[in-house]
Amino acid sequence: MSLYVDGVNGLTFPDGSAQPTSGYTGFRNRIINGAMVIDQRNAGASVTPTDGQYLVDRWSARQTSSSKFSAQQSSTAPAGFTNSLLVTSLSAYSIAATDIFALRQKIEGYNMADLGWGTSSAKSVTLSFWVYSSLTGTFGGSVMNSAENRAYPFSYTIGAANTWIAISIIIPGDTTGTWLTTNGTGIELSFGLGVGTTYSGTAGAWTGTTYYSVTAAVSMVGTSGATFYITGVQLEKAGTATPFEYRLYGTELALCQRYYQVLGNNDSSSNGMSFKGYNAASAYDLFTLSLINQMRQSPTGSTIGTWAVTNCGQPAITGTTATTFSFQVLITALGSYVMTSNNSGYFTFVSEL
Amino acid sequence: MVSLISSNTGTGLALQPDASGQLQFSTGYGGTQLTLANNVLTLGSTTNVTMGSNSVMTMGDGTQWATAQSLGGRNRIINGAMQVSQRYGTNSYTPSAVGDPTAPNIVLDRYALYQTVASKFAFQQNAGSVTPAVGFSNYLGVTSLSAYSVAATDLWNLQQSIEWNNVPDLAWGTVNAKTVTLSFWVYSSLTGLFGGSVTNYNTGRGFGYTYTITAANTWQFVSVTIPGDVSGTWTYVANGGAIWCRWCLGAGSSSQGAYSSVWSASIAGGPTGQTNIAAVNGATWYLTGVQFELGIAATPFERKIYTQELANCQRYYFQIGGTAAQALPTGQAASGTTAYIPIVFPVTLRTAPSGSNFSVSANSDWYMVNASVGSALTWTASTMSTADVQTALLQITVASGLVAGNASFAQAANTSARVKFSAEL
Repeated sequence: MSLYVDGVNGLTFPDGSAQPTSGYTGFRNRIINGAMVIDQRNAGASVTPTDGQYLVDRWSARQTSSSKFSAQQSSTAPAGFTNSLLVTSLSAYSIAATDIFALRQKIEGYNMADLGWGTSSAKSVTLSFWVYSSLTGTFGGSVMNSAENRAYPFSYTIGAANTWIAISIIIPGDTTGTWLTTNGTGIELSFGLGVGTTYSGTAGAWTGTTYYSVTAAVSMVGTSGATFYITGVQLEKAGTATPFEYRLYGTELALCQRYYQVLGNNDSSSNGMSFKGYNAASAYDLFTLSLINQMRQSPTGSTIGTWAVTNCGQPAITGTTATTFSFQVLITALGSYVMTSNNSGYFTFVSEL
Repeated sequence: MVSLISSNTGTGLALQPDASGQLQFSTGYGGTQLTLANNVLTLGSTTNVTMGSNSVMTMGDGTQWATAQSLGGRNRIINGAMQVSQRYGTNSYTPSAVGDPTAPNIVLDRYALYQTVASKFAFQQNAGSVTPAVGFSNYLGVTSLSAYSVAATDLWNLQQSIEWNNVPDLAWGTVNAKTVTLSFWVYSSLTGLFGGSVTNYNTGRGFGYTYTITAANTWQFVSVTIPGDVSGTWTYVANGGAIWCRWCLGAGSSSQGAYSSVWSASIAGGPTGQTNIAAVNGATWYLTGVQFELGIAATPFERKIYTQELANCQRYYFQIGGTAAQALPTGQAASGTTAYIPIVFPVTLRTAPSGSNFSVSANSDWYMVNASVGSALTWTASTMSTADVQTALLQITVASGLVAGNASFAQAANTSARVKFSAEL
């Protein structure tokens, strides 16, 4: 039996508080950047990804063949959202049996540990999202564990082209298999863009096979110029979809920075991160600084591009921890030196799953 | 179980009470469990509703509630519980700038004062040490510093600016504009009519509301439902300002106007009949529990873990200091008088702080320690050489004593020492 409340004030509790709508329950979405608002790497620019490349924060491409689609943050969005992730097919590619083209987010084990998956207490979750595509038909995706030996393919239907459609899918908890509850990958969520028969299964059932999508789903990479937008992705511990959980921008950015940080790219040609000092010729100066926030694990630090330098070489990362990083610079000649980052020369730190 | 009322009509069972409209159900256990009267369904004082494992509650707007889970993620106001006071702690502060609330007029994290006349109010976290509203530990206190004769054009508004990034889903300025509810707790030594407003950053759209404080020195809850504005210009600027939430503390006669809880293209600084706190020496007005949320009614205040709320505030302002001998990150001397110190902010700031948005409490509050010298070299000047949204490089000057090329670090000389970065709206 379900309870329906149609009154204007909804429910009034003993403390006088009212609950007129369910749109208030928060911090329940296990997806980070579900509204596609954070794009630290590409700042809205289109990318033709390599396998595993990130398209917007936390969302990566899974592909077995390159140059079949491009992706970028888009300002096309349904009411209540400002951004989506746009995928555009670059050719009319006929997928082979073992091909995989998908969007993917890996959910950290810490963030799904309470689901109890892999135990008899496994909880159901509800996946909800908005999609918009130039194609119609049955589309597919899946949730899998990190070993990809437990999979639950799901399907959804886009009945009208170029129209935002809200999708909600209930996924029963998996009572078997191994599901990491550490800082490793807990859940892999994939949205198929074209998946061959080897990796496509029957919707709505847990299986011990690697499945990224459902059998006979639409292959959007099969139609040149086809478009697919997605936003408002939410995965929550519930038997029904609740309204998308809104988060303050700074909170969402910080959540993303657990997995990826960029230091020194101020989106301008100058006035980024700067260091100045003085030393002898051929001496190395070493700096150790804190990261913006603690990352998932010790990240891979990189110096991207070319910094503006005077009397020194390019800065080079020498080590990282989950909270700090060190870099060194070689002094050219005795005297003062300066190095300044910019929008083409900066540091990145990657601790993605 | 005996069936006393049964139906075999195939169309179900309808219970129709008399004209009183009252219908009661009782199981005989603890009195009446359920009453339906005047279209209000009331549960008995000991009656609970338990949802089955697959039950959902569907609201009038079609949204569903399947589980209570945690209530959160809905308040667009930052520091609504007045917990975070990076700048002044629990010290009193009297803002001195007139006009727009630039940095000197921030009175508590994320709250600023607009004023046409300075030095009429002091602001302090937990001023007066009254018992906060139930469920809160902090409030922002405003105290009138004199019995000021308010001139016609005078105006004082406490306000918080909301960043566009935090309200895009409101869709204000479009046909999809969403209704919001502003709620807060207020306490004043004065009774009478007060007002506040919600306006856009582009000017030309405002929603004025009033509330009446009926009992002095008593916490009172105020809730204002604001329909979404379907017109006006609510320009999208990703990290810019979108909305002002204002509480009027005083307004002269020509700064007052109609506050009739409708959107208007022209709104006065305060409502007609606004109680002028500045007119009474020592008068107080306290505020806490501010919440600005989607929906047609106020929900319980959204609790945030302190560190989360601090991080929310640090997007707009960040400071280091306050602890004796506190050190800044190690830098390097570039000459006998100059050293550079890199700073990494604890969160990504809203914008890169400009030179004018960097300051120190006083240069004499800090000194440099040169690794090879070991002596304390008091700062004589400090500037921000460069900065972006995540880092800054400080240029420190001392009279002498640094050794070029040596590592050097800065230490606080006292607990007043601060290094401050602002990215306020």
